Amino acid sequence: MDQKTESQSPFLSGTNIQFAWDSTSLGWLKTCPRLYQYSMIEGWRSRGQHVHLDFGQYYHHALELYDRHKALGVDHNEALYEAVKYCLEVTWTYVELEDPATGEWSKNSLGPLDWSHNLKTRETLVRSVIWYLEEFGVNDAAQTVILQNGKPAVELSFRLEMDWGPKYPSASPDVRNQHMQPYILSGHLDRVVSFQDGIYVMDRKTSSTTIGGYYFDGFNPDNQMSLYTFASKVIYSTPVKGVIIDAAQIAVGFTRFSRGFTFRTEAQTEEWLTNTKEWLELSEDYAMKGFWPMNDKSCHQYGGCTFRKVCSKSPEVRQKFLETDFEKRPWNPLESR
Amino acid sequence: MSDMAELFARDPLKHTRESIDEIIVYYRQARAAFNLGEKSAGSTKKAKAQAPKAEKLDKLDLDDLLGKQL
Repeated sequence: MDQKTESQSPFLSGTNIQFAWDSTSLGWLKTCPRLYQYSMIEGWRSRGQHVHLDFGQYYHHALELYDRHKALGVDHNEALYEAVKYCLEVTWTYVELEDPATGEWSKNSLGPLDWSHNLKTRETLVRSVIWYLEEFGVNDAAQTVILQNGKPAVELSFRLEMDWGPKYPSASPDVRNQHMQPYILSGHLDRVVSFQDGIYVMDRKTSSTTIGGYYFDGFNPDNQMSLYTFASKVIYSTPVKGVIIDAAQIAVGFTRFSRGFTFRTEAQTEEWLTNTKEWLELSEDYAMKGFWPMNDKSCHQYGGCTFRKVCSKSPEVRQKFLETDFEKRPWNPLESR
Repeated sequence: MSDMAELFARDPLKHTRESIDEIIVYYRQARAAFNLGEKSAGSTKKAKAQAPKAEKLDKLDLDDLLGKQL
């Protein structure tokens, strides 16, 4: 297994056989093959603004910016300033306009980004970043690991090449040889830290619900956390104990943080990998048949599947509903952030 | 100190080191207040002014409530 950085399609050429997987696409497959078909194979996404995705990305990037500055020796206040400045800038919209007289382009302000959401706003983003860094930024017992190249281990995209690949069973030996592509597991680690007596991956989450023991229990077993533990063990050739989850509850008047741990033993990580092999084989079978069955026991979990309304319609009209309510934005596990 | 609403309505390109520091100071103070128990301390929206409570009536006449019955 090794790390790679170049980008390519996650599917074998001319097929729906996916060889590059991340926790998101694997999660879709495990939740419901039809969800996987719509989201990964066909690339459908809900139309309109994506407040939770945007908010989460800006929150992560602001904290990453802080971590990078801190790792370079910049003091807390200066690093915090950079993080807040980023939040203000990234949530403001501009348009480039050409002056017809001079032909010069200029940046024109359109105003603050409006997500039309009561909890996730510019103000709560800035507040959450400041409060998190005031709580965990200074004197945090979790210290960013410095990589061998001298860079801080923050926002790390990884690709792990497995020592097995799609079997591509119905193809002739010649075609099969053309597809000697191993499976790749990819992902993105927020931060790798040393904490007390061990090395951990750190993952930051935002939520609008109260965070307690029940919230953290939900991460074991968990596809994403198992992949992150497995990947970091391979990348750093060191026994990674698990994942530290820094969760932020975003409310109208406050942001409250909780730090939780999810551990994986060597045997648990191996078990996850064995399970993953089975899931990927199953995915290949679905791709060969061109049929991804509906798991109707998953439709109502986590507040309801995005495609519930589509799947509840008669099969002959589903395509119309997809085209009306969704747009195509393909997901690629090989794209680095 | 500037009003938070004005600071958040300001084009980021017009922010200065001082104005961003004002936002940081505001939220530091808000966090301290939240840690002391003020649940809405982190909101930039001012709490709605409460309507004044009706004065207690010492003497209540049934006719005042029902209107004079002829």
